[in-house]
Amino acid sequence: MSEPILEVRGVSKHFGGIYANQDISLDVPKGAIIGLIGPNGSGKSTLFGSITGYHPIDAGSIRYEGREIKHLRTAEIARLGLIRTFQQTHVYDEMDCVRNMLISRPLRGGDLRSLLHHPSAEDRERAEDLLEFVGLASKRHLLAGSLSFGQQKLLEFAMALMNEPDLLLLDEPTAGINPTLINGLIDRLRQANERFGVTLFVIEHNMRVMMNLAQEIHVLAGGRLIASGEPRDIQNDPRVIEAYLGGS
Amino acid sequence: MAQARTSQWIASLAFLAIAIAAPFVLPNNMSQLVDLMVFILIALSWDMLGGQMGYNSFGNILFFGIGMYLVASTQVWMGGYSLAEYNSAKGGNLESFVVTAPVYVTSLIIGLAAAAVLNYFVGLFVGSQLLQTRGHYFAVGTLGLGVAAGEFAGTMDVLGGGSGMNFLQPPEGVNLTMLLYWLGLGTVMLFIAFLIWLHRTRFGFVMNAIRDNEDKAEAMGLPTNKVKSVSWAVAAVFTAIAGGLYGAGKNFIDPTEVAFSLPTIGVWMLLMPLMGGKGTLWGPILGAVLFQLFKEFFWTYLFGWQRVALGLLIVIIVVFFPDGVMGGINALRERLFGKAKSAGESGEAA
Amino acid sequence: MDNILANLQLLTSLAPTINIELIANGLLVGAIFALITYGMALVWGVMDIINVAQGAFVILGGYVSFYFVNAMFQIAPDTPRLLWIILSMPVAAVAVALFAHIVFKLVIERILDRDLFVALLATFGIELVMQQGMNQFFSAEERIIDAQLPTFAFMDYMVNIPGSRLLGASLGIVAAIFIVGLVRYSRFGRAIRATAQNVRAARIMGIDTNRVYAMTFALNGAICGIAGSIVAFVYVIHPFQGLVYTLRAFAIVILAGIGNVVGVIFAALGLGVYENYSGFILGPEFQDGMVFIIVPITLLVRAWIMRRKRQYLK
Repeated sequence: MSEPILEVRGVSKHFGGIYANQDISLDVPKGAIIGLIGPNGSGKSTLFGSITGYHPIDAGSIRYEGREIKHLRTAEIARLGLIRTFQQTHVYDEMDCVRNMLISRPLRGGDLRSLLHHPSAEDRERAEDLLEFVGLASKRHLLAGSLSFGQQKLLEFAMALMNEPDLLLLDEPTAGINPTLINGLIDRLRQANERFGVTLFVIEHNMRVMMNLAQEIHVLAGGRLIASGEPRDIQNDPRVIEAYLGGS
Repeated sequence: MAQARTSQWIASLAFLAIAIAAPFVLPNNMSQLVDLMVFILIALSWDMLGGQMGYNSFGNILFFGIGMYLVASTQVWMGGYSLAEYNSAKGGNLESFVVTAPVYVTSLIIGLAAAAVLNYFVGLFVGSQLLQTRGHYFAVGTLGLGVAAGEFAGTMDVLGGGSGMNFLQPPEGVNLTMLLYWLGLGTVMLFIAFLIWLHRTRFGFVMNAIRDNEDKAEAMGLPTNKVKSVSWAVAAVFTAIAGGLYGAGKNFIDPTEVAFSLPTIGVWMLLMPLMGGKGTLWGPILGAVLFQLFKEFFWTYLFGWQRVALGLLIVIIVVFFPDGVMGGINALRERLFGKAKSAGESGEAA
Repeated sequence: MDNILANLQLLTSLAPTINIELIANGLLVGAIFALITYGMALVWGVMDIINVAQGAFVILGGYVSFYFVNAMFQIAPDTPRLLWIILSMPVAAVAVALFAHIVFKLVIERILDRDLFVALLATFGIELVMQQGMNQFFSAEERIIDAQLPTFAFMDYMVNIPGSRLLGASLGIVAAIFIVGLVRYSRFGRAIRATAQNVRAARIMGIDTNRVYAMTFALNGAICGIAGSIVAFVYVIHPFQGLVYTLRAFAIVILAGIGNVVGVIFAALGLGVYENYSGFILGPEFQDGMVFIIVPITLLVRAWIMRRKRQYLK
């Protein structure tokens, strides 16, 4: 595989006395789709939080495009092109979908002057295109807060793409999505990866999605990385089966 | 979108026309009209944070008071007098401190400009610190700051100490209320135009994003801290100008009863947007007009009990009419014409 | 500036015993602050409401107590003063609790599930109504109950402790022990704590949470009433002084955290000492300002500490 865009080395994070992440090391190669699975409470979302600067980590190092980012704040990390979505959706409730998209245009420097413009025609076009891409074109003038959970997930995905990330961390993108639409969403994720060149690092509970999508899967259990490998191998790995069925 | 913008400008022009006519229609109510301009300024300023950004400040009175003291001091200083001497002469021979009409007018305008500039930086600094806290904590923190400022201003002898300071007497030939009214109206129009423009920029979008979901705004790389402090700094500018105009009109500054008076102006400035409808452009303006009417009514007919009535008014509005008049109008419109389809895209700052 | 330096010199070299007096007096008034803060934290923790009218409740309790003691004195002039002062505490407690209950029924009940800011502004409105109403009813004159207690002098009259402060602090401590015990060990207290921890679970367990809210708010009224009757003979009562007590209590809660009784006690005693020192060093005209400014300062310190963990005060 190609060189890594993200290198996680020996990351530990504990809350109180409980280790949510313990000595986790893994790579996300540039241009790949990588999966992250594990039972509830195994530390997946915590790892996403550690990577994107939501909390300081206790030990280890996180390198993004060769640069140490563990001391950076969330917004600074996002401006480098590393964006995450949330398990519980985060959208701007009181604004319509188009405006949600327009706000999400990337702001790489963090310079205020670049905010003192009206959104350009290209921005609007791109916003409409991406809403179309995720299948929300007909909802574009509805308030984001009035959308269903699944639609908010799709909107959040579109907003993330609007931000033109290089690496996108998706926290359960198919949760709450109508099962008949899941195949379509898998296609969209793959297209985002191929067409827009976004590296994807995905937490997912739906194993069918994971098997279809990911080139490599990492498995967390009890805050530790217990297995890594191709989907087929992971599916048959006794440690993984133990973790899921044994109730760690 | 373009339609909404046009209607904003038409409404602004209508407002301007009424405001230009007002002094001729109500020549006996000039001081109330000056107060109204002051109220519109502080209501719109408060709404920048409270309505558009979701940060409810009890402390904007800080900028109001600083602006007032600064304008008064600038006038004394530009009149060629020592501030300490001027304030120690209070109660006695203040008549000996006279200035010519041109000096009075220019020093007033320069004082207002100085108040604007200084308070931009005060707002920026205080904001960069206090806006790190959210919700309850921000509100009560700013409350503490606002009342502390009044207490400390009262300890400074150079500013007249606890008994306050007078503005210079306007010389012959200066129609003070007229001057203040037109200065106030000019500032209000500038502020309205600025807000119409701002709410269509990405900066304005980010302010709303912070109100709706600050965590998300940060996760998307938006410079939330900078936007918050700069917004408060801009609000501070217009609040300070309002303070200067108000003080000059009242001609007297008491540190805790006028300049940094939290129980009166400090609360009125958040009551007005609430009455009219916060988070909109015309709501705070409407609220200021309504509030001025209520206030005049209370002061005329309930003398002695007017402040009790005002407190009751706060409670009643907060409990029963939390969306204000604009909210009521929108609800009525929805009931009559069905739910507005594009509430976010065209309805912002409506 | 010069007198500040002179005062500092007094404290450090000329008359170090003044420190003992300042600390002792600070600790004694701190006991009253702790009582008021406990009530605020109770309402805050259980109902998620910051009661800005807290200080006005205290002042109201003071007026009730003032008029009660004066009336009793007129009816029975030969009875011991102390008896009526102590009896005024339950009287003020009941009166303010009743008043708080009316406020609850008229206002608080309607805003329980609304935005936090709504509660803040509504209680601020109540504070204004009470402050101006008391001004109308009782006039703006300062009132004090003269307990006619001696001032105790120690160390050759270098350290002076007013007897009223000693009495106030001891009565405050007794009342605090009683109230904390009530919340800790009674059935009512268990219901309060269950509601504070998890409203939904409390409802499922059959607790009438609305009633718990009403009782909590009334209990807070009673606490304020007791505190007010102490304030009336230790300090003075004045209609516009409520906000000072509210902000003191708020600062103490920020320092200690909600639901931390030991923390509240230490923070309250600390604030009492801080106030006495700042009043002595800077001059009495600074004392209120120094109380108010402690609110944003404690907030900022907490915010800085939390920012290191990339969290914020919410």
